[in-house]
Amino acid sequence: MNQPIIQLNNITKRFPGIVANDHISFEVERGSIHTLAGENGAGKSTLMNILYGLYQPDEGEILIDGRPVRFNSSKDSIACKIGMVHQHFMLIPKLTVAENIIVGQEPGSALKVDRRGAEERIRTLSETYGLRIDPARRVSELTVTEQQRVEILKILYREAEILIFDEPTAVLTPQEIDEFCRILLDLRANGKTILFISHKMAEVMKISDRITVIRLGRVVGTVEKDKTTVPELTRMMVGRDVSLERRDRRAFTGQSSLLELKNLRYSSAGVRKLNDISLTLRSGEILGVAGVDGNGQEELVQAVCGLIRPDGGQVLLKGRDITGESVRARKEAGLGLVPEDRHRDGLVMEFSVAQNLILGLHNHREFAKSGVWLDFPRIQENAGALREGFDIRCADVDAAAGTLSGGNQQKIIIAREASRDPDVFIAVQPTRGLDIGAMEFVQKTLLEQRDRGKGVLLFSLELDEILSLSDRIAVIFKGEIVDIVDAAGVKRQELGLMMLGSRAAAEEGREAHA
Amino acid sequence: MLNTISYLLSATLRMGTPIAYTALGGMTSERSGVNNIGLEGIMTASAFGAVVGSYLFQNAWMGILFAILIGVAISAVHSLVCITWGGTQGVSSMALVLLSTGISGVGLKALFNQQGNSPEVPSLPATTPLQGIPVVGDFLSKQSPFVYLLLLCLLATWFLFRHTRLGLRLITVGENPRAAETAGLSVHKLRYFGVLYSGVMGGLGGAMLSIGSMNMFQEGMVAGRGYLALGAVTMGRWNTWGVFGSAMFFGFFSALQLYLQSIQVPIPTEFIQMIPYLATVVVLAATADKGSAGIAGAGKPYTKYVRQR
Repeated sequence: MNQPIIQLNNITKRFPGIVANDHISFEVERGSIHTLAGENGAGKSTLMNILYGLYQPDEGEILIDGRPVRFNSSKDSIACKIGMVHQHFMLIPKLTVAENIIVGQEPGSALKVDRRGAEERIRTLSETYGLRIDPARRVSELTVTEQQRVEILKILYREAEILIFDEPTAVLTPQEIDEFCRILLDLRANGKTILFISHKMAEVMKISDRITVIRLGRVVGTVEKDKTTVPELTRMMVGRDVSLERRDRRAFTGQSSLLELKNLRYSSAGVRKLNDISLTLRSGEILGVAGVDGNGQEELVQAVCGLIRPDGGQVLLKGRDITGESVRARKEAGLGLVPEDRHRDGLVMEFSVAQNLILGLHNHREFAKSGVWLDFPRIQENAGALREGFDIRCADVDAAAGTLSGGNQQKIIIAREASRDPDVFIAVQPTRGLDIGAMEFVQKTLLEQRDRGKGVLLFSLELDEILSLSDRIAVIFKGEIVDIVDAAGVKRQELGLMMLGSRAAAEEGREAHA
Repeated sequence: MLNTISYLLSATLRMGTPIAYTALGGMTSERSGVNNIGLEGIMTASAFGAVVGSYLFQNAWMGILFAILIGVAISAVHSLVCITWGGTQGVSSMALVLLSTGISGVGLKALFNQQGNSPEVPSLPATTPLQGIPVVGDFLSKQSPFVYLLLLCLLATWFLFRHTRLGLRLITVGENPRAAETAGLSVHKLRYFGVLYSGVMGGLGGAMLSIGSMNMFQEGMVAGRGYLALGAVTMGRWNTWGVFGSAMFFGFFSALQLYLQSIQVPIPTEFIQMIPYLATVVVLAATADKGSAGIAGAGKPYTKYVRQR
């Protein structure tokens, strides 16, 4: 057998209060696509940052081509022909593609960077690997996929033989993921070795040669792609069987309506975003709102929460008109929100977990004596209880929210909103970017809310999620509700057509079920 | 008429040059990701340092050297606090301003046993070798060598960011230090360069005040020019020529103010003296928020990956 290109022996890395990597050992064969799979927070990124020289391991050794190496910075790993595409792109929008690629290894003399030569070389590189990009453009003008290409070119420019990709598909749409997989296969065909971090089973099974699964900082096992299955991998990752299939749903008994939207209209900059939207959310149901991104979902959420004022129409919460009320008044009246962008709208990243758990509740008597003096023991107690109840994995409730993994951040938001015990739960893309374990937890929480007689308004771009959770499904297209259908009888294809605005499909569907 | 123009032009250069030096330094520091609000302090200390150097060696050029050394020393303190120790940049800057005011006051007393101002020292008010040039020789020779040195610094700074390897790297650490680190660059070293460069330039700006346009140090002589320089950096949108132009814009209004005082317009002097500052406020308000041209990573201390979490 050939000498493996990378050997990791007993790599251990500890952070205060947590062992991120616990004696991790595995080998990567030259010219293969090796996937590192595991849940968020399992220690995949830490391990890759060690391999890229950004962290130093506390124990263990790395062998490249059989020779032990020690990296003190990414400079050393770059010298060993290792390159890494980070989950969050390391690009400077103001600079051109070429400048972003060459910085640190500029051609020409110290006094005069040879920009033209660089652009020439990048053009050749991008043709060789089928990564079309104009090196003279500014990065700020590029789409996400193009930016990713720049990142890949950046490491190819440094003549990397080992390419590490840290959750590269998290930011891509399904079509873009297909394109991306093709790029990886091309790179492999060119003799490159690829280390691919992912927790999305479909793509892992599609392109990997071998898969190493890690859980809670330890290697669970390394398997050949051909000799494994999705359920087996999932079990290895999560440590138990997981089912994200359609669930039993109780037939809702058509009780009182919790949230009612009447003829909501909204335009922005002359564009009609919401056109006469009427919806009723009853107690004990999950109403899924399906639609292609950008068809008015964002504005609908904002109008319900009070972030924008509709041009016309009404929002009724438990029969009361709240159209003119503030965000806070709405939340006090029983509205809970899991926002789409958890970093921007859901958390203060610098605040501790405990503080984030009382955002918006800080002036409640429960946490503030006389509504003024924060009751810290009570806040800590609350944090402890919610951490336990919602399985928020953090070293400490005083840790900054920004240091937690995405799934655990989302759990903070869900825990906070659920602890307010709202009657109407608005969840916008609640499982985006989460691993399977966290996804299952979030979905379970939403179902629990429903079973307790609450109403859940679920916005999601994932049709599977809508289908598996909703009782009824409203399809939104260009700011209008195309139709509202019973989730039990509807077919994926029909929904897909409705999402493209086909009323005919809606009609047909209705007749079929009548 | 020609006299007026010549007066205004030369006063603009005289008033604008110290601001321009300092602003170019401030721009470099900010583009590397460190805000240096303490430029005022650097100017004060180096204006004093210039006088000391010039006095000790009875040579104004030694004064310039002293001023640069002082500027570098003070900005080294700022670098240590903000870059190595990750301190708050605004607080460190304010400390520098107070420190410099103190040093120069105490220094006056200790070295010259004087208060308020220093004795007269050798200075560089004119560039006599240029006298021989026909027509404009007279005008050119009346300008301080500082003005010509500024033009060199201006070209050097422009070249730094436009063409050199270092310039590209400075921009990278300023905009996204993490990207710089992953590209194998040392964020700390590059930021040290940016801040120390601002020390050199602030030093020259301070020296121009004491031994370029005058021949002594007076307490309070910087009079907010360090802050005007910061304004010039923002107004010039972190672009070398823009920053230079903005500094000269402030210089022009200062010159205008001097001119209006000299021809004794019937407006109280206090109001006329407000002109440069009013112009600053108006222009900053008018140019604010035209696109987000700021430096993305500026003002935030950077901790390496290794020390994170």
